Amino acid sequence: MFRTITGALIAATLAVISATPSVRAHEGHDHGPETPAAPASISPRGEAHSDNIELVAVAQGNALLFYVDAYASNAPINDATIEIETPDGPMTAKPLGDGAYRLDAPFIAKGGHLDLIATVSANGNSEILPVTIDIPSPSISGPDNAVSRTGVLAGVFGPLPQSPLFAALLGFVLGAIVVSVFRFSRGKAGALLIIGLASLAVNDAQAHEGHGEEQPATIVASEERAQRQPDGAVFVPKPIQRIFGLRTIRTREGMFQRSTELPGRVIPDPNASGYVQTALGGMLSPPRGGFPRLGTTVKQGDVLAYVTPPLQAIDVSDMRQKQGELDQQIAIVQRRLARQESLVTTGAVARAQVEETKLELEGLRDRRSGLETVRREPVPLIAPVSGVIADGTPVNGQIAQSNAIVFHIVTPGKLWVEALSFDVLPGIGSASAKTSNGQSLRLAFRGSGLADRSQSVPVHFSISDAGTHLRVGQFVTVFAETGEKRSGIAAPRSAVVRTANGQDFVFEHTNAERFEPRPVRIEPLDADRVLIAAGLETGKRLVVQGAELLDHVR
Amino acid sequence: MLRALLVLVSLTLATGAYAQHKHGEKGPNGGRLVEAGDYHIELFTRDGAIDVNVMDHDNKPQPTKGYKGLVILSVQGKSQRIVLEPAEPSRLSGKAEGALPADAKGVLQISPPNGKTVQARF
Repeated sequence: MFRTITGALIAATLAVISATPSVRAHEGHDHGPETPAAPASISPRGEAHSDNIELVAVAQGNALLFYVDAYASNAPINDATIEIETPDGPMTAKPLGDGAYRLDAPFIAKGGHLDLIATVSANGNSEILPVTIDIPSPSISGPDNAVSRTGVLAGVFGPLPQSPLFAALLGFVLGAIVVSVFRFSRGKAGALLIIGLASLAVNDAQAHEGHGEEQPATIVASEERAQRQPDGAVFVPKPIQRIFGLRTIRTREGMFQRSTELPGRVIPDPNASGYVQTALGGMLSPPRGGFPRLGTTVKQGDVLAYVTPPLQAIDVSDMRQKQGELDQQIAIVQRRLARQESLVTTGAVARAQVEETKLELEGLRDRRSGLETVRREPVPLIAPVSGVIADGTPVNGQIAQSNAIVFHIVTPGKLWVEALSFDVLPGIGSASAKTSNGQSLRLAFRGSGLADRSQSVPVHFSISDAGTHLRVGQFVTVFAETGEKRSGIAAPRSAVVRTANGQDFVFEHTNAERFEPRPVRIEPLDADRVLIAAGLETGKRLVVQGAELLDHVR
Repeated sequence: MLRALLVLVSLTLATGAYAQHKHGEKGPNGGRLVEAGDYHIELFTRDGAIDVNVMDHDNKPQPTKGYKGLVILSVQGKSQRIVLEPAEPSRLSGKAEGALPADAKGVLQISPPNGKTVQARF
């Protein structure tokens, strides 16, 4: 049994050796990074890139389509001139817009290996790029041909996946069979020979299938659509990339200040907001022009409402009593004054005494009239600051309790954020916040409390760029930079895709039309960006726009 | 048996790390060495002309009778198309406009009589 397994493993190893491309490749030569194969159902295509330009050439019918993009950002280049060196001499491709160019190419009808040299001139700079397209010849067709030429083994295993793993599996099975058969005859040499032959046969089948020129595949109706490759990468043809709006950035590692995420709420700036409260309870009445409605701009000192304190029954009787008393006193003092005035000429009464009586009478009259006005005059409610009415819907005739908030005035551009931190944050540098609908706000640290409030400390920030879209009381997530510095790659949040199993992924633009998912470890950086701490190297092209769409490609 | 297996496995892994060419390599005659498909091309830029020596992978000169060649160069942001004709037994030459810098960038295309065109970037 052991021998069977060992023999089978040897056969598997031999099969892998013969199937590994590096061994079959011309030894001692680096042919540059191999372009991974495009899906079989896609039109024949070739790609090339320089530091600035990425070029994809697609053979469609009797025409060649060229797609030109900026290499780093993947943005289409529309104003380029493309001269193509074809087998029929130099030609110029016509722009179709959106970074696409078309060249009528009758010479591609016969198919085969097509070597083109594209000279792309854009922004006063020209780049020369070699592009190779292998176009299957339409004349030779049919799988019958293929079977008869490459033998039965290739015919049987041809359509199966052609990977070293598959070769190993096939070798293992063949080896196991052969060793079991030869165990009884103890013909080890013979067994090994056959193992070798079996692995060579596998190799033979692969080698023949791999050559497009000798065994062209039948032309499948080309369908330019994005598709997920068996290895997990996503193949996206350039036209679809345009629709997805895919954009990339070059990753660059750097040192970034770490940030802490805090839950927070928008609060009004305490110096630019105010309450309008009634000190006395009473009936509300509108000023001239009515109560200010919600959202109305008011100025400091504006009268917003009147309160008329009600008169209780007991107060009324009290006042009547007081009135009566005062009236009585006024009458007595009037009499006295009249008597004294008649006597003052005779000198029986001093002039000073008459004046005193006059003053007393005046005082009594004042008190009497004061009683009258208290009954009638309402109290005005005045705006303490300029701003906008944020809250308050008084109704004419409504009875407000004393200390009731009638209006809440907020200055829209001046808002703060109150965040709750579970730790006392040592030194907060800059901070930013993100609202639930994805808007980001710049914050400036104002101070943090020391008193514990439900096991956390309130931290105040002022919003530097508060627009008119914010609500008071709205929840935001605050990203406060703390002292620690971390190294990594800063990427926009939109670059990171979270899969169903909770793993964070980014997409790397590896080839012109190929995007490979890369598992990454991310840490919060600020409202817009995350820090990729592991999983991606510097200098790669990272998809920052449209990553969600790539993730949904099946 | 097990030892033989181990040897085989290590052989498999070792073959992955084969020798690689470096960029900017010099040819046997001091020109720039460019690899194009089945050929090694040694490139010389002169004042107003460009010469290429065609060699095989062991740097043995190859006869260039019946060969055609084309070089497209980018010189100071402008592209130049230079057709190469067989000159010496294993050389192709073409005329250029003006002086060519020694490190000019571009693409080279060689068409042997058998029709298997190769091209390389340099």
